[in-house]
Amino acid sequence: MNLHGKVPVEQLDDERLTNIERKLVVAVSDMRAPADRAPRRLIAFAGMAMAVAIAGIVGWKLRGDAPTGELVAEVPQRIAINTDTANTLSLGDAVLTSGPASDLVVERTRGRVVIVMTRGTIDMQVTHDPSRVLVVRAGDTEIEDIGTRFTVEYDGTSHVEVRVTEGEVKVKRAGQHVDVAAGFAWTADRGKLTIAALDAVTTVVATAPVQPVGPTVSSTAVTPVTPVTPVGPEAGSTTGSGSDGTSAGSAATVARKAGKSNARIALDKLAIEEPLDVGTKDFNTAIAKYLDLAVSMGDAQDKTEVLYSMAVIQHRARQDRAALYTLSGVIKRQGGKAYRAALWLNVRIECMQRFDDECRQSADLYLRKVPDGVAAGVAQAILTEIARAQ
Amino acid sequence: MTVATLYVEDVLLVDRCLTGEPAATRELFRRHRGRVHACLYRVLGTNRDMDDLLQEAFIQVFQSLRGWRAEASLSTWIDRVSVRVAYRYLSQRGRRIQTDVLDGDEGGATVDGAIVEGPGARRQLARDGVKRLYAVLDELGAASRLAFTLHEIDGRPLSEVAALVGSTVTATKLRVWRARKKIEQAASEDPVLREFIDPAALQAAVKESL
Repeated sequence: MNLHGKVPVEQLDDERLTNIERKLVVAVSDMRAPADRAPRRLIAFAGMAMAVAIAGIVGWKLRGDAPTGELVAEVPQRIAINTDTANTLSLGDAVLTSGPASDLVVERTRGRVVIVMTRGTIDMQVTHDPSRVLVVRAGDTEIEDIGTRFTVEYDGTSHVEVRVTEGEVKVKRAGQHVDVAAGFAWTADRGKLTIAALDAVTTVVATAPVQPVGPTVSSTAVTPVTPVTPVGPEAGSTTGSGSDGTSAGSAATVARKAGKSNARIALDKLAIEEPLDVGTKDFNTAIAKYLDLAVSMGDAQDKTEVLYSMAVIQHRARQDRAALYTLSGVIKRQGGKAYRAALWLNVRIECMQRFDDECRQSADLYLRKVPDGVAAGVAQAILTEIARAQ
Repeated sequence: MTVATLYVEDVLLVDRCLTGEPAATRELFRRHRGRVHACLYRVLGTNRDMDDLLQEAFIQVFQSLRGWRAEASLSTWIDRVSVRVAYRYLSQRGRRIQTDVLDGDEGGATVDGAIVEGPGARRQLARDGVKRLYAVLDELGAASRLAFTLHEIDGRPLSEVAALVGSTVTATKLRVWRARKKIEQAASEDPVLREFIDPAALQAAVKESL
């Protein structure tokens, strides 16, 4: 029986595909919002009215179509929400959804909305209005809207967590502030990190001390590092190996024990540029030839290819300190044919053992000098992973 | 673009998706929707419910994206997810997916059992053949239908099908054989179906798989 190709696929039209895509993006965006937060449920108008009555509000309109900035009374309006169920409150150009057991006060005057949380979780959808400031206060932390969708969780004491799914907010604390854009989160104890990183840290359970993954083959001693250390290479990796001996409770290391991170895999997979061929496979002979070639070239000539090639062979000969020294000679030239390749090899060598500060600096340098391309993406992934672990 | 570069691009795209970037969500969907749709279509034989199925498949992909460890290619991993969605759909909807009634008023290419020639007639014959084939497939269990459609219609090797459905090659081969037998039996009574599936090759395949 040969039916392959006999059943033509009836294509979906563009409109259907666009609708599917749109729904998918929304569904995925909702998925990325904290899953363990209280579900956002619209409650009946009567139920909200009861909450309002309990709070003792003065004439606040609760319909979603309340116009921006409209005031029913001249005095600042206050509404307190403290119920056992989730509630949704329309503020005209903003929608606030509070989770169960949330306790907060919303103060609204012309041009300013301040939401003061005593505890709980709120989800905000805000239309940016330059004539109006919207601020959420959670303890000693202030979150200022810049036109966004974001969530604030506050445990009533010191833990504050802000997740931004659209737009940007400004988080202020202890006289400092940081802008948090979509896809990023901020917590009082970890600072700014990606939402994915926050999810990874909060869902991994700390376990007993992590044993080293495998034997070291590099001449460089692998030293134990403090908790929440960036991943090191797995045992058996051809690019070198070693592992991080971490103390108990390193959630990030526990998570990565299960396998290589995507950034590590990408780094290992992305090949470096091949060196110039000098007609020998012997490392030491090749290095000597490259050196002779470089010396024989005039100052005005571009030596970067020769020096880069020498660094590649030094790296393959496991002379990484020498390779890095050679590469520095290329990188400081700030140009030349092999400049970009040298920057990448620098990243490969510095990040080979572990994603530490030297690795971060090399990836950062690469990204600054070569902001586009696949390698730039890998460098960004490395920086993201380092940031997650901090 | 080399395989290694494509692979790295997959890793980077997944990383971006995991940070919640909507553009990355769209990009991943657009890259893989054609292949996923084609696979689901060949299993089911219709675009009915396809919007929901495609969405369900990709939602499952994004929900479990963190679990992709990059050992398998992203395409293969996504196909695995899609096949699971198809299996669940087939199991839940029962055996009858197509409710279209085959009737003579559709302008079949047969007249009193004789095949009518001509390009329009051949096309109509092919369409009728597809419908009759899927009517037989409707009678199969979900696992057999999946195995048969992925191998015979989607053209995947048995080993790949086995990996996708999470079964052994032997079990998959048996399911495909059972499906072929059923189709052969139906084709013996239906000249349109018989014409469509090439009965000579069918019988040889049945003998070979015994």
